[in-house]
Amino acid sequence: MLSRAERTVCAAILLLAAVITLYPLIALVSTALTPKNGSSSGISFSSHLSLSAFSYAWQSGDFSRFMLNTAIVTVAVVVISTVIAVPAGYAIALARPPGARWLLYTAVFGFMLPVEALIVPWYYQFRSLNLINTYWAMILPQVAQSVAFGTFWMYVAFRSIPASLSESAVIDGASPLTLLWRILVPNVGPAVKTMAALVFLWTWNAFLLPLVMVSNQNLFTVTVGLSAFQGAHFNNYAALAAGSCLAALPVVLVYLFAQRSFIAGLFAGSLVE
Amino acid sequence: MKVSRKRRERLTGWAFLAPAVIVLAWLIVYPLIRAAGYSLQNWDGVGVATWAGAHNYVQIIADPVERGSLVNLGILLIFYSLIPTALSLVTVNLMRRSKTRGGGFFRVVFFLPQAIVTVVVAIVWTWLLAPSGPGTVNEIGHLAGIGSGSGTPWLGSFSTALPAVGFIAAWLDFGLCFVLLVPGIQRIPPELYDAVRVDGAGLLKEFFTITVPMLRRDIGAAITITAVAALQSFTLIYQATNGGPGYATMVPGLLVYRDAFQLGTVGSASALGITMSVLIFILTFGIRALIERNAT
Repeated sequence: MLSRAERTVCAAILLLAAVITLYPLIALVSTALTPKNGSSSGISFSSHLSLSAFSYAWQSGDFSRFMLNTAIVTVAVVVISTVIAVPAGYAIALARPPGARWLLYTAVFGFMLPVEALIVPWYYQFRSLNLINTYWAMILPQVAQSVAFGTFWMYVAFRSIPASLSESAVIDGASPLTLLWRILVPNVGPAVKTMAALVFLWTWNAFLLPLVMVSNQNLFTVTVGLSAFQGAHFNNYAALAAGSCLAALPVVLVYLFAQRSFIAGLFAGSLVE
Repeated sequence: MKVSRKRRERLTGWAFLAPAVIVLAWLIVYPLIRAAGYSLQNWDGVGVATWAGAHNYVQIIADPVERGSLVNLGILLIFYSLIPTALSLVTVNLMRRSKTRGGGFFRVVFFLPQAIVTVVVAIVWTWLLAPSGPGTVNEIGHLAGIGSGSGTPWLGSFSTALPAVGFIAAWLDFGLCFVLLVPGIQRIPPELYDAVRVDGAGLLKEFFTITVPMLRRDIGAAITITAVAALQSFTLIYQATNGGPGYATMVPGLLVYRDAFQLGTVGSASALGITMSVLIFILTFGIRALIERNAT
């Protein structure tokens, strides 16, 4: 019943959209693979491929340090916020001590606040603690935002576990910690993975917070380092493209290996289905 | 014995909550109160703050730059939110109709921009939208027979900068909307489409009587998520145009940064930050209310 023409049109539209989506990324990688200073006007498609721009960016461009800084901040945020958010989500969903609901409301509220609303007071808070130009100034605010998201996210996950599961474990004499880590967390594994993947993405991608909190170049994250590098060497296109590829690679890898987790977390942004 | 166990459970519950409570109180609730306080003051970040009342909020409407940033935000909402949602809606509908295979492949490809660090997206698009040069949009247009191959500095001219930034945003968000809508359209029972087709409904009628109403919630989610992303467009715009040329692409997020950390007007930055939060809440709950109301 469907015409062949219709099917062809659909395939053509999809392919065109795929080309438009991929072209900028291919152009970026291609520019990064041209010999250093081989590109004089942005994008280049050189037939002579070289990794020299990568080694220049890694060494002279300080991207090795930027990547390390970002990795330190990101790993710290993912680990700390998971350790805090999982028990909190569990307590709100299953243990339910009085007052727990208020924490849930605060978490949802905090998750919706934009960085722009909090960046100014954060700066003065950390300035008065003498923590400007430290990893902590980048880690702690992002831990707070991730805990806000994670508490809500884990609450939703734990709520879906049948009550009988924890009841039988309690009857068997399991302590609350054993119950949580041995019995309940394995049941919400996908939710924990999704949370970790999203927090990883957000933290790695963060820009405004590290831009404001750190002016010492030795502490730059890769996003701020990239921006500063472009300001200083705007016409060193190959090195800038190589630095961009380095900055993008970890998140792309996590995305390709944990697609399901990434995509499952998307609806979180639309809140409380 | 039962009472003491209950009490112990309650204590463990609180112990589990405590770290989250401390973190959220210290770094979300308290700073938000501080921001609200700053927004009612004039303060340069160093000296003594003076009371300003609602002045900083009045300025958001009265000051041409601040008001202009809100107008720009409104225009960007179309690019960030409405265009990608509409395009992806049409695309998923087409795919369903023609039973196109390879849905998984397209999902991975279309979503890829979401996994690219925003600063990188901005850098590569500033090259693509440059006035001339190999591989630029201008050159590709020229090869396709449109334009002269050099000329329009898309991000650098007053009339095109905002739509150009919007185009980048639409490129970013198309895949996000697509991925959000695919599971929804797969849930629609094919019999519904068969029924209207028997009645002789065409493509358009089928689209508006079945696809759109059945995907109401998913469309709402897509619009909400992308609209909130539009409010948080700081990184893309800082890197692509820094608000320029002039104030052509200035948005509230960029003004927060400029006011607080470059001009030293902490009060106006905070008032804008608070206003942005209120806008996010209005958008999120407004869209939800609209969808729930139309549901009945």
